Amino acid sequence: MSELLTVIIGGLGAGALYALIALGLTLIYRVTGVVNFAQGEMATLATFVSLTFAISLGWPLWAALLPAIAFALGTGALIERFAIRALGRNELPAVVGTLGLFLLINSLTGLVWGFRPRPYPEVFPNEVLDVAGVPIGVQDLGVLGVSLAIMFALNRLLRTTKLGLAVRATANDSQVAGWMGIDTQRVHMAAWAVASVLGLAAGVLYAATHSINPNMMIDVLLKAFVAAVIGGLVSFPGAVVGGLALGVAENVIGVYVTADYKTAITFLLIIVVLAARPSGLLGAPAHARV
Amino acid sequence: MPVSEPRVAAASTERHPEPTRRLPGLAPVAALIVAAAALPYVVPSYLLTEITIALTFTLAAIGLTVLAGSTKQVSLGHGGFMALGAYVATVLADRAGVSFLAGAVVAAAVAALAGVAIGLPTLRLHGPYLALSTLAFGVAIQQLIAQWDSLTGGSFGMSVPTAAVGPVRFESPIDLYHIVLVFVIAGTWVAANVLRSPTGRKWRAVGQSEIASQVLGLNLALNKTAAFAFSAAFAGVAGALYAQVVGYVAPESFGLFASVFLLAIAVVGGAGSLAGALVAGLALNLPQQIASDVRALPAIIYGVALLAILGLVPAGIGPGFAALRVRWTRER
Repeated sequence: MSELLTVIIGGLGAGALYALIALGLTLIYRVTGVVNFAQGEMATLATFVSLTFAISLGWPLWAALLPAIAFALGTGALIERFAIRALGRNELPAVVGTLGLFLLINSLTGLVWGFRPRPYPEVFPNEVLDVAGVPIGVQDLGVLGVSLAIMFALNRLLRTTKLGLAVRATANDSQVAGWMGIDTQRVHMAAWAVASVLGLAAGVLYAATHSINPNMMIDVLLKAFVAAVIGGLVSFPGAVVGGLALGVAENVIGVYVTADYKTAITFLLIIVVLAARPSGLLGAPAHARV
Repeated sequence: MPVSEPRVAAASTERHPEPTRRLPGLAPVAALIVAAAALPYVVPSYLLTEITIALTFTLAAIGLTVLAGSTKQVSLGHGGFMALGAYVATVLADRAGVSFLAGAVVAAAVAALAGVAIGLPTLRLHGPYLALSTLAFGVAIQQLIAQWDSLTGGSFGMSVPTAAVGPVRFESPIDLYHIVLVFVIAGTWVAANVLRSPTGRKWRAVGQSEIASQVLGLNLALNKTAAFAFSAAFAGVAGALYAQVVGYVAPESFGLFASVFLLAIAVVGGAGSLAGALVAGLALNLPQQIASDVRALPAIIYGVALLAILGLVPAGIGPGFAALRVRWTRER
């Protein structure tokens, strides 16, 4: 029983990262209608920027994160402004365009920093707490805690600030939002910028608990897609629940059923979910217009 | 009046004019084939091997561009079909001494079956959801191959026993190139004929409007799944060829990046354009040679090319070129 709890907490720790990336995906999709396949790579790039400040310049990690956040905000906005907007809204170019960005950013990151894994400053000690006889990983708790805090902050941003209101209005109906005086172009850039920072958070948390290398987020991105799709690509709570649930399910299957095939099962799961509900478990069913 | 599926006429509608599919004349095609056959004798052999590998990917991309251009199903999982084809052919050759041609046929069949397996659950999916499902499928296949190490050698991969097609062995770079070239030419010919056939027209009708084609009596499930299986078969054969050319297969060769590369070739060439796929397949792969020690270069090229094409000529090289040709003849 106590082992199950450990496994669940471990799964929540991993799932929190999926949830963060999935939130970014959902935000971008709801506001700009694009599936951002480059979400993971943008996160990786910003994380590497923080690495440079932290290691090469010797800044303490919290200080190194500041330019990284600025970088994430900037690149997110710039990418939206110059790459995404130019691609238009057609399905194929939008999907493929972000794939092109994925390739580009991944290879640029590898070009600048090399593909070999490198150590990243530790944020949480790699220890195990004994909570009433149940071993719980400190890193899992730490990642989960920080992620939940960030999600809460995002929720406050969306619900109480003017920008948040503009984002929600544009996500709801961008045409009407425009009529009401909201600058939807800037909201689009803001959505990408915020999503980029969410990605940075996930990237830093991952790097701090593993190592950093240009391909580190690919696996996380794929699983974040599963989580986002469970939320139907349009539901924030769905993305969070999906991410956390996926992390837990993956870990539980890995420990109790089969460690070897758990990744394959996870990915086949997405096909099953979509086959049953093409708009995702929590998404609104889309009705085709003739 | 036919009671079953009606033949869909090749007429174009006003709002979505469909360019008539004119095959290039016999003479230019023959000249091109002769030039391609003579290529190995003017090119250094290390470059030739890279070209041959590029050709195997191009073959898979031809299958994908047929799919993306006709029923408009965008697949991010074709790397998985290549993996299936490569491993099926290799395992058969390694364990059962099966000849290459027989192995390639089985590879195509297995890939086609996999195409049906992924095509059926994804019938109702479009756009990003379809892309994600196929992506998940491709990754799942890669994982399954990596885990089934008793059969496949796991992540360490398998070396491929050198096979032969008739009297020609998969050995010297020149022979490798010619064998693959024959397959690419044959594949292009098959794809071109299918696209021009009533089946191809049905697929394109489905791609233009699923609702309208259903109203006309087309069986959506049958056509979409058939198109998927057809394109998967190409990738399967391409995978088997790749295995022979490289001499070694490993799960990483056919992962997410491979699927993205294939889609990139199809999109840059123009979805549905065979000539475009051929040009793009070679153009995107070859600059590797200029700086082959820069590991990141191939992905950069694909990424830049994708974005450039999407921004400048969204329809891709093939249709873009065709449009240029139309303008040129009109202005004369």
